[in-house]
Amino acid sequence: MTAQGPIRSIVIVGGGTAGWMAASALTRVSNGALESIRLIESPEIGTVGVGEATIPPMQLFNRFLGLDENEFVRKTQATFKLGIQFRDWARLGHTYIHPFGRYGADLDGRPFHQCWLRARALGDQTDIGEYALAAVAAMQGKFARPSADPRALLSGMSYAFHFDASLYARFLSEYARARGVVRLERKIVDVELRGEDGFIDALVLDDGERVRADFYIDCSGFRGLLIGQALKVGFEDWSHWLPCDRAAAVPCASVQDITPYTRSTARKAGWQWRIPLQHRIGNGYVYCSEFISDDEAAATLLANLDGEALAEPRFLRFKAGRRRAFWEKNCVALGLAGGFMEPLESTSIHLVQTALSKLQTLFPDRGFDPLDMAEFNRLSIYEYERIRDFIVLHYCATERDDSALWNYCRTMTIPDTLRHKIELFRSGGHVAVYDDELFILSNWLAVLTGQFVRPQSYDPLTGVLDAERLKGHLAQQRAAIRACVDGLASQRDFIARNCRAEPPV
Amino acid sequence: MSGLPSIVIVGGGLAGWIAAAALAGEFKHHAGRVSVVECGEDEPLDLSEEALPATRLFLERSGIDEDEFVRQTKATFKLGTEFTGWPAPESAFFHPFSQFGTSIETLGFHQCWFKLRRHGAGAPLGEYSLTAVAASLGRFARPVADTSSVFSSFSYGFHCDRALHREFLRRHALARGVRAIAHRLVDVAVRADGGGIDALLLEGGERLSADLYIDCSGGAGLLIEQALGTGYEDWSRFLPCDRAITWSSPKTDALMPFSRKTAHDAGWQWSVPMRHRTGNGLVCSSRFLDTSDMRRMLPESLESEPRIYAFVNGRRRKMWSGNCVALGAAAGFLEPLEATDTYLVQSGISRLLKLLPAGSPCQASAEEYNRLAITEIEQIRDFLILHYCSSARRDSAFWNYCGQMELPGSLAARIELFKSRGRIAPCGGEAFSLPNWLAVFAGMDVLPRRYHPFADKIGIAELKERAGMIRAAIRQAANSMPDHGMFLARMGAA
Repeated sequence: MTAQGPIRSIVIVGGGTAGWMAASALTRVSNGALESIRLIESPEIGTVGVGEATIPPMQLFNRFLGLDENEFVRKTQATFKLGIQFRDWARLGHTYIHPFGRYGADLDGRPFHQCWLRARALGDQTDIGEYALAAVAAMQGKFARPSADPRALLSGMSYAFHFDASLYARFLSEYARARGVVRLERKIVDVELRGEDGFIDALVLDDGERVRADFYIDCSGFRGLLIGQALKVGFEDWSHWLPCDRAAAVPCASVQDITPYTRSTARKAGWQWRIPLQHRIGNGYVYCSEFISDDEAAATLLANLDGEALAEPRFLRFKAGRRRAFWEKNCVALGLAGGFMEPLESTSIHLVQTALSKLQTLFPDRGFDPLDMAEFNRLSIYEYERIRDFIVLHYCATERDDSALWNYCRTMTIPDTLRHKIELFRSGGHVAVYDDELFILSNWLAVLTGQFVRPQSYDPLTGVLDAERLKGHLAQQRAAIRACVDGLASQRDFIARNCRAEPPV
Repeated sequence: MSGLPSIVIVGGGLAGWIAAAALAGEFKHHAGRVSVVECGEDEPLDLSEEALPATRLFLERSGIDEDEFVRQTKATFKLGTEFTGWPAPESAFFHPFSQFGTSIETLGFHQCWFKLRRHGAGAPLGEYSLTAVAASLGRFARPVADTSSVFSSFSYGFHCDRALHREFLRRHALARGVRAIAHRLVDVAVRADGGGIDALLLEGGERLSADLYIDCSGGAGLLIEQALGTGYEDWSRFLPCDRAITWSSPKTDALMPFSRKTAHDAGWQWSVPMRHRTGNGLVCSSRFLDTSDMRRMLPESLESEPRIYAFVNGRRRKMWSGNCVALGAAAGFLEPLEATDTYLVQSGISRLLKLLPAGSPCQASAEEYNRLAITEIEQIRDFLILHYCSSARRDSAFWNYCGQMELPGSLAARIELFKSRGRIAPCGGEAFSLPNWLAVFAGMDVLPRRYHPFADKIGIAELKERAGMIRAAIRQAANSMPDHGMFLARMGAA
């Protein structure tokens, strides 16, 4: 059977962050081309993320929806994020930051990082973080929105947000419902497939009502109610590269100024996140159940909080990997229903955002051309794999040998694409960036250097620059960044002036 | 720990001197570490006299003044290429170096255009390209940086005399200290450990060693193939042309800011305007046309018997092997249908400069170089094949073959996706992007079965009106550009 004509109706299953992002974006892009967008959310299923951390492209999503950024910050208890601090990852006691934005300026056409590598060979001990405005500002608790003028030093910094995921879902729910999205607060008890082609025919709700649509979006989380349970799309398991499979999460009270960065602290059997919000701090221990018990993980988490725990720890189970197809028949899976990678580089929201962008480009009609699906899946898989490599780098490039997890990760076989990147950097400090890769040179540079991947040599063309001039160039940039950061307000003052949230009720 | 490698380039043709000029620009007062072994009369034959827009960046990086380049090489500016007789014997299209139109309500212009065509409305795609319109009027101006201006939406390349181009770069490189070696190469010593070249043995007994060897010796691949036996991937089943003849004719009075590629029964013919002469070339497939028939297609006015150049479209299996990097025809050959030969050399040497090893070359750099180089040349290969396989011509055995030949999987997928819904997926390499593919798809009359569903948000009447406004703005902008010949005269290039 081949149906013809445009998609008239969409049903989104799941009302977490992914679901409401989908509803908001679809109402924005379709702009009246769709007759109905409905979202079914069960009142019993809560949103998984407590404090959610993001990366800079999220600004584009907010802008695309036409949201006022200060209002978004106020409504979601959000704070600003200039990067991620990694503690104890490369070795116990060592800390580095993955900042958002550029490192220093090139010299005579030679890349900045090659200049820095040469300076190190000449005996200079400065950390690469001293050349990133975002890293220096983050450590001093400062924040400003970057300059739009590319010549200004302040244009070299970028930012993202930490926010309360439940509040964000509520915020987007108001946005989407004001634009015609219908919310059904019900439970789905069955998914009916069409006999002739196995497409989703209807969703049966707990009161017996059958909901039908031309197109279904599965945002039901890990379980993948439509994509997995109904359509039986399998899962590609990446746990041999990313063995963490559980998390314990707990909010705690803030006791000091909110830091404009996420912190990730490596632990014996995984790592702990710390995501500061305006009203509290989100914390979690992501761990590998093979190496630590739930009780011990929870105890470690509770022993490492800034302030008093505000709830009992909640436990989550997952498996790293992705669906074999993200789009199958008349169903697209977004968020955790499509795949899971631990939030080490805060990519969850971003993957929803880019999936929606791809869906906009490849939006189907009722014929559901298999070519559209194949293209969507090809692009999604490629994107997931590139991000996977970046996350695996944090685990495999480590000196830690103090626990079973780190011994496993340090010696495991890694994907060829990642191995190539590491070898290329190790040989001459070159960073291979694949086409349309989310993380670009500066990101890879931060983590490669932070995890002690040391190049054996540097670019020989940088080697012929005058040594004193090169050192002067670096010193001048450090000084300019320090001076620029000295002139910035603290994040506390910035928020107080622009976007202070009401205390929670 | 880090020192500049010593480099020997084998081959003093255009490719060799492009490489030498780029190295001289970056090595600066160490340019003496670069030598070029010239091969005299055995220099590889260069075919094309065209250069893509990327040449501008290449000149800048090499420290070469663009105006001086234009003056010295008798160049004219290139806004694109006119393809005559390709979609069908009597039809033509223009491939401009520019974008088409502007997005309408978050929807790419091409999707709006597909909808217009579906409704029998809208002008040919070229009417929405500033450079296509300017080219048809014989106008030229340089683009501006301000992205809000209509004059920022395009780029340009060059038509330049190949011998003058080579001489110009040679002088530039020599003036900066690159050494030219006139002794002929007689033998190549290969390292026993498989690490590549050990030394070059020159006429007169000199033995020349270097950290890195660049093979610019042409299709023969004296180092990469004859010494190292790297292997060649033959693409002639996709691109069956394998013979070329070039000649000159008098310059034209009005200098066109574009070249013309005219399809014929068993290949195609080019015409490239320069300030002192017009460059011409005939490209054929010997499977479909024997050489005597090829000679009969030449103008009668030709005085001497022209040399027939034989080539095989394809690529070396590795462009970088051990301590040897191949550039130009030694690395791979693609007929100059889209003026990519110079581009591939420029892009190759730029890539090598980014990955330049300190001391002895390492495997990871070579892998990275080959990964990028292969992606790039295969993307261009696919782009060239599209000109043949999508033609409706069935008037000769050659065109019948092209209409039925198997395609590389990457191109077949790309065509299917385009036919399905007009999508042009991002592609590897930087030579050609969405507007280029769109120009050729649309030019060859390949149109998608459906347009983007969201294009129906905009009513057809409104769409016609907005497209009409874009078209009028482009024509007005093109009319305000100076005459191409006047522009050249004003910069002292008459």
